Amino acid sequence: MSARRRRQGAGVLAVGVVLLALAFVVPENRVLLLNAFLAYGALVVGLDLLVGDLRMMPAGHAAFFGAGGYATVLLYQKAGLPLPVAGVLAVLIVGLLAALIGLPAVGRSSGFSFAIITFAFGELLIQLIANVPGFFGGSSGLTIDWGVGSDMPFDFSVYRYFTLWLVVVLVVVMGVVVLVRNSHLGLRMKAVRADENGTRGLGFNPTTYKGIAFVLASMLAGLVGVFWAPMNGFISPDTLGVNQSILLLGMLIIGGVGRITGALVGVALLVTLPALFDMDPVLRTVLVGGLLAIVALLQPSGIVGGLASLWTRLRRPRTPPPADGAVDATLEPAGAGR
Amino acid sequence: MTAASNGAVVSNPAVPAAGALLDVDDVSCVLGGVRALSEVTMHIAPGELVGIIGPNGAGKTTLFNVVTGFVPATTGEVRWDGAPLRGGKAHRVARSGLVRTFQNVGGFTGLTVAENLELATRGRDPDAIDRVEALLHLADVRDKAVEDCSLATRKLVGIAMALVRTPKLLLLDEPLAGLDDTDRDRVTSLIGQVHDSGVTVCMVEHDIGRTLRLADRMVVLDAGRLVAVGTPAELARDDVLARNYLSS
Ligand SMILES: Nc1ncnc2c1ncn2[C@@H]1O[C@H](COP(=O)(O)OP(=O)(O)OP(=O)(O)O)[C@@H](O)[C@H]1O
Ligand SMILES: [Mg+2]
Repeated sequence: MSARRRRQGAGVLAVGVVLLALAFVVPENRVLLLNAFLAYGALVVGLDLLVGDLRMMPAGHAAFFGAGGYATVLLYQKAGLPLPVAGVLAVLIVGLLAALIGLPAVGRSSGFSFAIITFAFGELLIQLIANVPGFFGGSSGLTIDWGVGSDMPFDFSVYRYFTLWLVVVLVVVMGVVVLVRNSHLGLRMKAVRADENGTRGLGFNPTTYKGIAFVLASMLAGLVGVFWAPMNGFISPDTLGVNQSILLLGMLIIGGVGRITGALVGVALLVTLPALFDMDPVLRTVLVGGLLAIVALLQPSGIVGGLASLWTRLRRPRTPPPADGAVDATLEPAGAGR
Repeated sequence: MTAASNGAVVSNPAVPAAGALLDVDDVSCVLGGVRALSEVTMHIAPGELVGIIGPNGAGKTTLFNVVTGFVPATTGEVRWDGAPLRGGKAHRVARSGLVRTFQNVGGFTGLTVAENLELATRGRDPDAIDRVEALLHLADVRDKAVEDCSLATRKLVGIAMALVRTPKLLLLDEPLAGLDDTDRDRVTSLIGQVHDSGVTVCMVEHDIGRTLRLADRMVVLDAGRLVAVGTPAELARDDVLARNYLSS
């Protein structure tokens, strides 16, 4: 288990180094696109803690991203806190919100009520923002003037400066996911996914682990919002609605649930590629819908999941599956062929 | 031996054995309109091996569900280790040494055998894992995903997961179901070994022959009612009981 953790940890760092290098060389007109990849990547990788590890389908993940962004902006602009302090507080506030929403939502054994409650939270947030325009800026959003911009390190533009931060965010999110998956907590989460009653029989409460994962994943989404809002200079309720949340789920499912590469491939396919090729928005919707249908029908483990199983099949073309107990199998000369 | 309402053999069902580990007192359980248990009274004393038999739908699994807190008793009382188990949460009961296996195959899919055992010990007792792996000959398959294991191995994994938690009372729900004769003999003798090592055991089984050979005491349930309690020899002496419940 610790070998796997080391391998995956090294993978995370390698991805981080490549993205950091990219932050320096990407042409100025593509910096925002890279930032979108990083932010969506972090959101979808974090979302996978719920979908992949626990088969929980939140319909309001984007709402926690939005809550993180709004909290940061409001704490900075209205409360006058320094940006780093506002960011830390924002992540804590998102954690608190998630605990409040999660308390009634995760205890239900039906995934349906979980989806409904998380959906309702997102819509409630939008209504709140729209109906208290004096404080939240209303449906047209809030502009952020954070008063920096001329003296960036490496003579970076503000957008490119935030690329560095978003790389850090993505690495942190991937790191947390790798740590959780290779810990005893991750083991318990896998067991909850397989059989909730079985985990009760072993003496732990499945609701606890679903709650922990929900709060953790929501805080990671909030963390993305903390950096996205000041980077973008503007935040509006559009970014936290149910369509965004469904898009996040779509990217994850198309790329492949349960693995970081799946999440990143999904983001690249649905965010980066359409923008690179200036795809028509209608065409993009068709692409998302079509890919989802194909994946649902043909390859439920997603594109990366499909490639992974193809790879294992190609690598061991003729070895029969080992007999149970493996005693007989090891006594046979390798490649004896049955 | 006393006669139950339907005339069958019952040895002192209503009198708790001194210092019983588990007391089931007049427990009824209604599930979705079905009376799965009707006024069942039974006790398990420390060190016993109790076999529970009865036809499909007799309420055997429901009895396990009630005493482990998975399902509340509609009326009646369960006392575990002297204290009433009222509306006990299943995960709390499980932590108090009352350990059960489930009727379906053992182990969580997606996890290896070793991971399942680590999970069962809550990551705290690697020595117990080594001991139980040796006892059940699971060391060879420890790094295999449980879903790739044979049915017999998965059954053993389920029992192993219960054993690594050093239960005070071990409840086994059909540990032999789905196994061939060789594996049945193997698991039966393992259960005997576990019992000999000092663990109190209560097992539900449809394999009546092997259960009769293993058990100190038998409980017969039918349609939610307690039909008989007694030693295997006592039950065998009653012709009606033997004809209706002991011939497989
Ligand atoms: N959740 C439930 N809702 C409604 N009825 C139930 C429920 N669980 C069990 N029952 C009913 O209660 C009765 C007892 O079921 P139980 O599973 O305890 O029987 P069993 O003795 O374990 O049978 P088997 O030998 O087939 O495992 C059956 O009639 C069953 O249909
Ligand atoms: Mg049963």
